[in-house]
This record gives sequence, C-alpha cells and structure tokens, in this order.
Amino acid sequence: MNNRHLMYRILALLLGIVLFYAPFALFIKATAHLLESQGLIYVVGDVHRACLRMPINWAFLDPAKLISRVLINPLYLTVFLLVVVSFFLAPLFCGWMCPAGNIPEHLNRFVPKKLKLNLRGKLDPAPIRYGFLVGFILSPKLGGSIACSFCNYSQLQRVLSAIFGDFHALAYWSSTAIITFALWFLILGLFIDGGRGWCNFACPAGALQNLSHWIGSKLPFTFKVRFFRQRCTDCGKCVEACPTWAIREAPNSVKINRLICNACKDCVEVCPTEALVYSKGQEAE
Amino acid sequence: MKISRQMIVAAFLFLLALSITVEAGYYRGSLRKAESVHFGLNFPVPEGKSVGGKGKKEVVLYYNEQGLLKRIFQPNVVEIGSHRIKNVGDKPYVVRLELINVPPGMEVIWETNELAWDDETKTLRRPLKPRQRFGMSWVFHIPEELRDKPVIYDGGLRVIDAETGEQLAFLPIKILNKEGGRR
Repeated sequence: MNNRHLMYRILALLLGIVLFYAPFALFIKATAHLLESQGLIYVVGDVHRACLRMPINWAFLDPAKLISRVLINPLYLTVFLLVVVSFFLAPLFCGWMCPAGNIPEHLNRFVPKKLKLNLRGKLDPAPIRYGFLVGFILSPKLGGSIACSFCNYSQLQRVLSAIFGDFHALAYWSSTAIITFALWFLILGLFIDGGRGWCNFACPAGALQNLSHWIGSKLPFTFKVRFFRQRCTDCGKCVEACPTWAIREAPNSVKINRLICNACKDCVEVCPTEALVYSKGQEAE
Repeated sequence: MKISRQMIVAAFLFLLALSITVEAGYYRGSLRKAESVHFGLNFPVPEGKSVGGKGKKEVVLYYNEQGLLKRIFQPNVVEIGSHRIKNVGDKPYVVRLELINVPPGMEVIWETNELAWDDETKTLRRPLKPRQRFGMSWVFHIPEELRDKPVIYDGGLRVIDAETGEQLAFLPIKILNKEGGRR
C-alpha cells in the first residue's frame, strides 16, 4: 500500500485519539467549556462523554430519555451526526478516525498471516452485523442492556489512560470487560484477517453509519467509493486490500458491499488502473 | 420471489447474531449483583429511609456469584459504584464521603471523574447545588483470608455535610458469600 496513504490514515487515527480520548479529549473538553452551564466542565472529559452506544438504545426505545439526556449533554448527538455525515460522505469516521477500529487494524499488519483467521470471501459480515444491531437495540427490553458492559470504546479508554499514567483505570476487570477486550482487540482484532472483525460484527455505531451510507450511496450527489467497470483488469488487489471484506469478486467486475465499506480507501490506493475512485456520482459506471 | 441458499444462510446468521446479542444481555444481568453493583443515592435523607429510590435501603454484592472469567483472572477485585449521588435538598452542600467498617487489609480505591474531588479528605470541593449529582466508584481488593467468610464486608457509605459534619445520608453496603453459591 502507498506509504503516504497509510501515513494519512495513521495521522487521522492520532487525531481521533486526541479529539475523543483522555487525557487529551479536546473535542469533549472544548464542548464542556462551551456548555459551562450544563456542569460538564466539572468532570474529566473522556470518550464516555460522547458515548456512541447508549444514545442508540434511547433513540429506538425511549426517545424522551434521549432528549432529556441531550439537553444535559449535547455530545450524545455525536453518533447521529456521524450517521448524517455517512449519508453524504460514507463512514469516513470509521475508516479513518475511530481509534477503537483503527488501532487493531493497524497493529494487525504486524501479525503473521498464518496466525490470522481468514474468513474473507467465505462469510458475509452484513447479516451478522445487522443481527447484532437489532439485538443491541432490543437487549434493554429483554435480558439487559449491553451498551456499557460490552463497550470496546471503554476498554480502549482504560488502556490509553493507563498508558498515559492513570494505572487505576485498569484496576478492575469484570467478566464482560474481559470478554470485550479479548474479542475486540485479540480474536476479532489482531488475529483476524484485516483486523476489523469487531467493526464488522459487533459495532452498533458503525452498523448505523453504514445503513445510512447504503441509502445515501444510491444518490448521485453523495460521495462513495465508485467502480469503473471498463478500467478493471480483474487483478483482485482491491479484494485483498479491503480490511472489512467489503469487496468481493464478480465476473469481470467487483461488488462493493455498502453495508460494510468504511471508506478507508485502501482499495482506491492499491488499484493500478483507477477502476476504484472515491468521488461523487453513480455507484458504478 | 425465489429464495436462494445465500438468503437462507444470511437469515440464519442474522438470527444467530441477534440471539447471541440478547443472550449477552442476560449474561450481563446474571452478574449484576456479583461483580459490579451500581446504585443511586439521594441526600439529605434521614437514616433508615430509602436513599436510592424504588425502596432501596442497602447495597449487597454476592462475591461468590462472579462469572467464570472473573474468577479465573481477577477474583479478588469487585466494584461498587454510583453515577448518581444527588442533592435532593433545597440548598447547596459541600459533601464529604466516608466508607465505614473497612476491615484491615482490605484496600479500597476511590474512583471518580470529578475534577473537584479531594482524595485526601474524601471531599467534593465544589458545592453541589440542588438537583446536581456526581459519581463515585469503590474498587474493593478482597484479602485472601476474607474470601471464604460468609460476610466479607458489612459497612456502608456516609454522606456528610463537610461544613457542619452533619450526616446527610447513610447507605449500608455488604459484600457477602451467598449461601449455596458457586464456591
């Protein structure tokens, strides 16, 4: 892959950490200062302030609660802002900035291929991803909410806090925290082809953004990874490069699954004939 | 519409993922009183009255009901906490917290995201206005000699007006080994 492209992606990842995760959390802290009257200024700013999970539950099961929480902390709207952005520009946050998705993906490059589970082309992640999303939304009404107990953002925050000196952040591990860390970072992160297993199967925020992108991609004025059939030489490089397994080969063509693609543009970078382009227009030409 | 094998597989995977996710919620629910217990606490409330709404008069954690992974990797650490220690009175309070009856050898780590928290004096330095709240968690490190006792901890949390010393609320907290529990 093009080194400059990889460098830009890593810079975007670092920006994601600096904006959302303590001890930096500049986006969170800046908002707290702007909304001093809400009392957010009195608490440590970390990724929990802009939770991307609980607001999904509230939106579908208890909109009144969502409104009341947003009035106290408008950062709970972040996930819906990302859904709107995904409609017009594709899920760029997932592909470029989300530290919880990008850190396992980038570290995954250092793990030998023979140690990675390779389900690319054998398993379509979309039904699992949306089965999870429906289960996630319904869970508070059935067995109990999994928004906090199985939160990978929270696990990453704990690790980053410890790395930057707050060792108490790792003092307590629940069973669900152990399961989440093992699945998100190890089994579905470092040891699965592409490193995006958690994003593919168990991220409700990502699933919602892709649903929005899937709808938006049908419209000509939205940005997306587009395919130019005439230029394709069937080399298959894009299929191999895609960390989310969103591209699969078809006769004299490739198919991009909009329910999975996170617009990281790795496919665009490896395509030798510019058959894949991120721009406005029809999905394929 | 013709139903292809691919559609059947997709429907199966969808339902499988949905059921595993819902099951994860049940699993979490089964550990709610065993690994990390959360409560709400109102003050000022006279002793003996419910301090947490819904008739809550005490917090109990059943140590021997922990999940398998917790028992394997970190059996000696449990957490009790609150996202909602709330001033339901009609004037601001500077509050001090006190955890009573902590046995010797049991380390308790106090965790909060409050910037105005003074860990030395266990006092929230900013006055908590009526209807304002703050959060606090206690991570208990259970010493080996207490782990098999029926009663590991029998104490409670006192909320005190730091300016007058008056007790504003008291919530009994217990860590127990449940009779007939997992070990």
